[in-house]
Amino acid sequence: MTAPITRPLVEFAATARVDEPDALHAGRRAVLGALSLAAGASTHSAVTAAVGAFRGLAPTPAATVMGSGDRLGMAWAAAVNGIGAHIEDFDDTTLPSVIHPGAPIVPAALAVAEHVAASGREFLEAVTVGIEVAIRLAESVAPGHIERGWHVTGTMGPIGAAIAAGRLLGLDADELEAAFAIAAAQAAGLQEAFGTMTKSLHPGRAAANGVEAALLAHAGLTAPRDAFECDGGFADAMAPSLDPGRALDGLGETWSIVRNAFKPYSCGIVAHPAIDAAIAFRKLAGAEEVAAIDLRVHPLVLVAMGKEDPTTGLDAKFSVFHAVAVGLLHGAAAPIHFTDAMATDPAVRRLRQKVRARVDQSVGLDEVYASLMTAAGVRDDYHVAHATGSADRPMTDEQLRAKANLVAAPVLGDQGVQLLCDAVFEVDSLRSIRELVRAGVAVRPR
Amino acid sequence: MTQSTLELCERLSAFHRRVPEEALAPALDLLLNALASAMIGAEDPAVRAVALAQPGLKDHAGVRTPARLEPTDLYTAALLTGMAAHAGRSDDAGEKSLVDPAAVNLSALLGLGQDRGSTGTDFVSAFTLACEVELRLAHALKGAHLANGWDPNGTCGPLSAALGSALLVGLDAGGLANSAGIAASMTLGHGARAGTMSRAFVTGKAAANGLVAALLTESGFTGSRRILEAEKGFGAVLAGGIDVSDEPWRTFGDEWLVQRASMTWSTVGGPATPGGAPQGQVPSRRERSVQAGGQLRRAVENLRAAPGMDELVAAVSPGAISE
Repeated sequence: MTAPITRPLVEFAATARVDEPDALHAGRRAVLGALSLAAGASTHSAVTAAVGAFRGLAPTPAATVMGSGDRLGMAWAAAVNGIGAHIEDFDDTTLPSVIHPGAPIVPAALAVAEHVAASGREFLEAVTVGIEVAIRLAESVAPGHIERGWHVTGTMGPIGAAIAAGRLLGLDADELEAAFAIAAAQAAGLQEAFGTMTKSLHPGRAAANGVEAALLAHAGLTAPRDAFECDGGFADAMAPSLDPGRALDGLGETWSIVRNAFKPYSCGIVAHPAIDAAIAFRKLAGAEEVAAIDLRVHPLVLVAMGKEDPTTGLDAKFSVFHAVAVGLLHGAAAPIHFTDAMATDPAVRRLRQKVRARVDQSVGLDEVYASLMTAAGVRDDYHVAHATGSADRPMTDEQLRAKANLVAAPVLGDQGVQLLCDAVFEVDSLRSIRELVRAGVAVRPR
Repeated sequence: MTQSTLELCERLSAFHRRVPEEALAPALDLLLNALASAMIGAEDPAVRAVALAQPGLKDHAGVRTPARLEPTDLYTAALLTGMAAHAGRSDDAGEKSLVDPAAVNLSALLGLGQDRGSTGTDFVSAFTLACEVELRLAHALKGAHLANGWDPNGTCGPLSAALGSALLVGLDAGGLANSAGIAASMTLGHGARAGTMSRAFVTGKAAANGLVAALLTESGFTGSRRILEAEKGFGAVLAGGIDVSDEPWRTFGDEWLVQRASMTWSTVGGPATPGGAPQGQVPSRRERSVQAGGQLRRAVENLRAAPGMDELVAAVSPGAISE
């Protein structure tokens, strides 16, 4: 029989007073990442399509879509913000499970907090605890769960979202366990969706399902106990192995959220060390001089980023070959380098055909060994031990502010982004989270 | 023979509004049974809990759900109807698969048909084809899928409900395939155990998720169009590598599994198909009232030629039950 996992986690989540400064600050950074991306994406076609589909799907508008200020039902606003936070694949990621915790959990907490007018501190603690639970659960089933073809953000996201939403609704441990189970039963998201808008629907629906699960548990819907580890439960159905220790060891004493990483590049995080190498190679050779680029990578790189000849911008986000090509050609890998036009750009296509990757179990997830060979026969080797933005080389708060400006200024304006950043970093002092929501909405000219 | 999601969707499009009588007649029996179940289960505590969790429901203008007073939005309607149909304990069970296709697909389509002003012909056609899809998928999965803890209503239901909804809103084969691709990322239903409300929730949510997938497609949201055959698609991930892109569809259009879907509990005017009330169970007053009502049976019989959904909606209104 598997050791209890669900109950210890919900008891922690229901009662934990979060006073660890590093954990809280990691929570603030996750909030800034998710909300700035969601605000910036409010004009993205995936987000406008979702708003169009969801607009009529709730009795009463109760929560706000970042950027546009559209008002939808609580779960649907959470869904749209989750889609927006993830559509550029630019959001936070925690290795080794590769979960993106911010996109499902921050929007869920925000929608509920806005509805109940929670304080900034209550919101921040809910986010921090929800992310902590999701990361721990994801690591307890990694890597087998991911290798089966599941998108871990869509499978663990609902649980973390339900925990955060449930905390804000004041659920006790029994109710929170029901919310956990209702959410866990909706763990979903196939990797086949990568390269389509549906990948961003995974955290979007995770956020919505987490909100809904908490509301349903609050209303009295009953669900099985021990949902994660019970016979026929989450682990039985969706993971080849389960390590309870990775879910529970040090719970409440050590915080996994502090290793949540923030991306400098707008694509799958396991390609980031290769992009670092490509950018470094620019000092040696221009694209036209490159004969070949060889990469030695962690096995997950080709699982998650193995698309050799992507034809759309979204598809290109799952191609380490494309990521390296734009890194070398443009010295960056921002959202503008993952558009449909860039995916089919002849220069990019020529260069990515020269990129080869082979897997090596001994290479870390944030590591790469890269070699560049020029047409003239000059070779350069480059080793990235830890990618830019990884837990060992984290982005600073100032860099996160600059990234927020990059993604959100087209919608909020420079001053608006600054207000949003200030509100996030001072969220503990906000009497109502509605102040933060207002900061995340574009001010329309009168 | 079907070898891809898109080919299946092309065949569904070709059959839409041209479903043969041999499939329509049993499908209408399934529909009748599921509607009666939804009426019986409309005030189940699980259904009430879901309604309670929807702020503002009483003031909403929207579609009608069986035997409930409040009009509601499409999503909530699908969720409530599916839960009620399951809680009413008379939903059908597909042969050897423990799947309840009528409950799921009725729930997705009943509100949508009202909302879009669908004809009875369109509604019945979409419902029949969706049920057939769910039965064939569930039949292909069974075994290991069930043993791993999955409820096939939650895994196959979103896909079938998405395809039925996509047919009803008039999407082409590409739109159907896209809807299935989105729905496959909204599956659910492991660990749903008897004795809790979560099993009913799985049925309702499967319906709602399929509906949402079709609405998203209609709005331009993209998904995989090869979800059945893809290396990391539905069969590969959810069913341990079972091929769901070919074998399940070989006899599609020649044989109809809806003919073999057996009812475990028939509530409307005696057994409509083989099965009937389980031995030892005594129908409640509410069940007897629904059984006695001929209005629902007539509305279902008339549906094939009905210009709209009005008669059917009236037949499942709260006033049709007198306890």
